[in-house]
Amino acid sequence: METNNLYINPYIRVLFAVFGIAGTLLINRISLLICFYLVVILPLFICGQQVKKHIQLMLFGMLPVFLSFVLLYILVLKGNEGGWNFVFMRTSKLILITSIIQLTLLIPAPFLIHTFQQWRLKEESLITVLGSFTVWTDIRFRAQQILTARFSRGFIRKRTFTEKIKQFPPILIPLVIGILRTSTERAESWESKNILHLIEINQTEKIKTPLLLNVFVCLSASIWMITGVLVFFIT
Amino acid sequence: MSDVDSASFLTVLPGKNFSGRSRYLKSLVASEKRDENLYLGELATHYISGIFPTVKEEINLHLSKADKNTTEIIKHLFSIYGFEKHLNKNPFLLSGGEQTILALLCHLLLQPDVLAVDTTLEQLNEEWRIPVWNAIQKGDFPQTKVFLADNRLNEYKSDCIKNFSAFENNEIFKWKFNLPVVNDSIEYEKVSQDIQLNNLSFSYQKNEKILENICLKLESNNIYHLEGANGAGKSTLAKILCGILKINKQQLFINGKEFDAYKYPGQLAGYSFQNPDEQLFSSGIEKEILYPLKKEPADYTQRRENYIQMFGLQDIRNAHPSELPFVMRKRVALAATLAMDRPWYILDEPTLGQDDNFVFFLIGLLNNLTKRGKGIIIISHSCTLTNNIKCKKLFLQNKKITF
Amino acid sequence: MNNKSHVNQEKMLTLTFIPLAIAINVALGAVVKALNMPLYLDSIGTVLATLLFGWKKGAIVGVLGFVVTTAISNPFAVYFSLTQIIIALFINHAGKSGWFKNTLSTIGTGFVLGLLTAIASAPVSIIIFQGATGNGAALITSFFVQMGNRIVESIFFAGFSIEPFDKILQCLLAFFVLKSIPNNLLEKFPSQSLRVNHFTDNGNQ
Repeated sequence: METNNLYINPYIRVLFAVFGIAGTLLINRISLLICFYLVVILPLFICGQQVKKHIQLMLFGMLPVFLSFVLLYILVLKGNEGGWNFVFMRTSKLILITSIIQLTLLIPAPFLIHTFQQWRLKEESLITVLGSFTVWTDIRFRAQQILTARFSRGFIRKRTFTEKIKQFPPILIPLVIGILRTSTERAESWESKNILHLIEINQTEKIKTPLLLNVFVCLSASIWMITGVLVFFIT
Repeated sequence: MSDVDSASFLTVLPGKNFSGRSRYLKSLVASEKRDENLYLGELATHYISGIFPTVKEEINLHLSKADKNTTEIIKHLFSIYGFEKHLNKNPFLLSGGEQTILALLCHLLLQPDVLAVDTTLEQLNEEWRIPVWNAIQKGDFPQTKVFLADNRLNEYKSDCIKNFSAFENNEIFKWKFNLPVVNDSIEYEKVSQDIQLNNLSFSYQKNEKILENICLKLESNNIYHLEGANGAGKSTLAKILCGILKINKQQLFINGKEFDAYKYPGQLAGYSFQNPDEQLFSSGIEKEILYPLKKEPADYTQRRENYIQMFGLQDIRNAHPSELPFVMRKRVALAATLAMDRPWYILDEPTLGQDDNFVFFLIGLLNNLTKRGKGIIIISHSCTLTNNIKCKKLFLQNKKITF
Repeated sequence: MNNKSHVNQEKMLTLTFIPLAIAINVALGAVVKALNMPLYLDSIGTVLATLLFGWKKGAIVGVLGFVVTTAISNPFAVYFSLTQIIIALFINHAGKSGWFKNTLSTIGTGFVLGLLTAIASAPVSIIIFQGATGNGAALITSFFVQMGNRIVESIFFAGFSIEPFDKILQCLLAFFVLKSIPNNLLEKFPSQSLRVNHFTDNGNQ
């Protein structure tokens, strides 16, 4: 299968998160932080074909944070409690840690079950976690459909901001009613299928681990951690 | 039930809405022993496990209990329906028909003693029904007896249909559905609003056009039957006419004048889609059909009353639309769309779950509407509807519309 | 029928409902984030799940919802997971005490909840973001700093000025949604909170 080369071993995922975050917390040099971002984080996003999403999140998530740092610490406090250096350090650390958490959570759909099973999730907890990662696609689609229906029934005359805000409750009501109905009908279906038993005997296919990627992830996180410890004790 | 042939693999239950069919099907599967009797309801989405990220894993989950022979047959059926290209997709992103097939075949994989299918298959067109239908009928799944409730029975070419009418005069249900003959007595001005599409193109993402250079004239006081494969762009076209999606200038004209549908959403066309649950908003039927205004014009009140009478909702006018059974929810949603009095209506599967009585009533109603100058576009797999109504056919294929 | 199958049915209902409630949190949170309002509206699923199934399920919905949100729309959500547990605990208590009986008491519940979540989320804003959370709250924080307050104080002030408003809105939304759901659907959910607050008629009959 062609998506196999994106597979990261679940244990290496956890190791990457722990070592990555620890290293980032210990290192206080902006040049090193940027280096790690460019050499490890960004290539991993590119390799996982998630660059677009990552950049989107950077623009909508990180940029406002950076701006509010500038606003608070440069414009309002006039650099009294830490100047540009503090701002850059804080933002780059935040960017790194958040990106690492994101990378850990961005699991391609074909590996979700396998990864969660390796993380020792079983039966009910496995169903819950798996569902939380998959079901929102359905709900987003339904919310769009409800909005379409409201438009076509002529309930939304203008496309102004306030008009959109007013649509919150009337969209939420059919959405929740739909969810309760789905939940009850699906519960009956799961009950009669005995889904817990099915999941228990379900055998997921073995996935071939792409060696190069996993070694790279594992090594880079370890080196980052060791560098962090060294820098911390030397300086 | 003595009048059900216990030997055949497939028992089809035709019949009227509210004849007690669903109740009978549910009683068939109600048993102490789990996973031996299974039930599939109206909407296939609810019967997909709903937690698995890919179609492949959804199928895999159900594979674990099936024997070798069944596995082979089901795998073959999946390949007939072209599921190879969907294996890594999210099951929720499949079309209604594909979800139906997925749910049905997965349930057959569990090899239940009884599989009760309650009008689920109506989402399939004739071409898609035949393979799985034949497989069941031939006895490819010898352990399983399939009971199928279906209102589009006259479209099936099948010998093993066993009539079932035990619940014809059942009184269990609160609402008895009789079609009253109500003549729409108000005189309307006949206004024709012809739609002209001029080189209409549309794409959600750049370079990926859904519709390309469509030139088309749709005359009101006509009924059009829009056909096209899943994902061909039928709902995209509907959304453009409703003013939900934005198109470029000089592409949509009404009676020769350019019309900016996007600026006036919902004014040109009313759109009713398959799942009624997404189009019911109010806490009462009256409010749902036409939302009460402080100062109502006389024809507004009368129009609401007319639709309540025509759709047989007078006994339940104070009920909450969402507490009704699926069949009635569908009718309320349809009535609400039609009552809006728009020049055009787009109806996606308006007769889902409805019996022939209702189909013929709807045909009459739609014909009446066209006489008043309305234009109607129907998207439907129901032959009973499309064969008995005078309609012009439109095919949406390869981003183009042909006649 | 027998007790065991009844318990099993309830378990299945919980299992199917939790992912859907999470989806509400994620979807609404994403919409609000895209509109860039000084609101969050990302806990309605948590409130509903808590009222229907108790605080443990509510907390699961809240925390998992924020984990998923982190991967999809708002990368910083995961840092605020603790707040969701506070919400679940408080709403559970409020629901069982009948604090959702009418509009007025719901507003009161939302206000108290807002104060609690402001206190619960302030440490995260201070330690991780130093006040620069990158949303409307950061602007208000800057405003209070400009007025001559210390940063930590300003963060609390900003929290107190946004959170109650946001949480009152969320509680009201949850209240009206539950009020407008027909009885025959809600009755399938065995919940004390629903009965205490008269969302279902069971208590009267």
